[in-house]
Amino acid sequence: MTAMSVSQEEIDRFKDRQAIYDCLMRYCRGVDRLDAELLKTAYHEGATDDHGIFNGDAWEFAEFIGPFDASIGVRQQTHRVDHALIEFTGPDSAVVESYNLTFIDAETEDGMAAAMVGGRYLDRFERRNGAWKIAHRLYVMDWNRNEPSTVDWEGSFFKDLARGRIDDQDESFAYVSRLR
Amino acid sequence: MSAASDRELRQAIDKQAIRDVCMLYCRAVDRIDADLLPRIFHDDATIAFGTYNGPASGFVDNTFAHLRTMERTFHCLGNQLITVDGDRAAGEIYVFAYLSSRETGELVDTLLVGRYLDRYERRDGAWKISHRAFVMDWNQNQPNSSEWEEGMYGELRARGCRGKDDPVYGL
Repeated sequence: MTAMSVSQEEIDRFKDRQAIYDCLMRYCRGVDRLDAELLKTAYHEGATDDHGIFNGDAWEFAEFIGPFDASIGVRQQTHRVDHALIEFTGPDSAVVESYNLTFIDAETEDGMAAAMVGGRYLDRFERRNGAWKIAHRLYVMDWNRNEPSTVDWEGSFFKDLARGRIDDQDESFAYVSRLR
Repeated sequence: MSAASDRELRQAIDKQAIRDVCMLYCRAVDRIDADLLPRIFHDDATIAFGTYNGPASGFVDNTFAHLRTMERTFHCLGNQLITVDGDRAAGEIYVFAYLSSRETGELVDTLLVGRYLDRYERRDGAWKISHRAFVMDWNQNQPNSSEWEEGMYGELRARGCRGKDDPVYGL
């Protein structure tokens, strides 16, 4: 077959997917830097999040997660979305399954604990006023591993590496001040 | 729009469609959902996994049977490098898999990292896999350390499973 032409619908959907992907990334950045305002930009007003540790209004979840993390002793964390399968259900709606790996170091009474958690975000996305955001999110846990932390910040070459932070002092803010 | 930019757009959109197939594959194996396979493999597709080499029509009897010997699996994709040439394409897809299985009674967690080496074809407008090989790059094996009821984990009530009871089918 010679070069097939591209339809306007294909171009529009291509852009829609990119916007949805950006929203998934904004969520991760918001939760890893504990930036409640950024986190809210991933959800529509009135959106809901069924997160197990919290079930209700998503903008309230954005305010809840920082104090919750502090309560369980989180010192370092990173939430990755590695792949996201987007399926459109209408002109302005999509369902999205994204695979998530989370790495956490938390201070416990037994010392620093390292957790690796595999799960999925099951999202209903909607486009409202031109913006694709989450209307409802369900977090599903698939597996986890838990061990005493072997984290090393000072040894070998680790001492030379910049260290991520779960607040607004993270190095990334010096590079991109408005990751919104 | 120029023919050149049209061609670039066509390729970008085709790559997206191929990535969708690769991601749907992850759902098929993690949920052990044979209904998804016709959307992933062409009828005459072939597999070279080492654990199974043969036609994709044998996927259920071989790869699914192998997966069922494990308690749970989680296949997530990283890099997806794809090149498109008309109705044919090739891909190198990085995968990180968590596999939990019982060996001599003890539950063992395997972290397996490797790559799918794929050939794809577009037939009747649909991109699907015509050949998929797997190459292992790294693995790590340790006793299972899952916690399901302790602390925060106990509150994470939505759990993944195999079959149509998984919450993804309620989306």
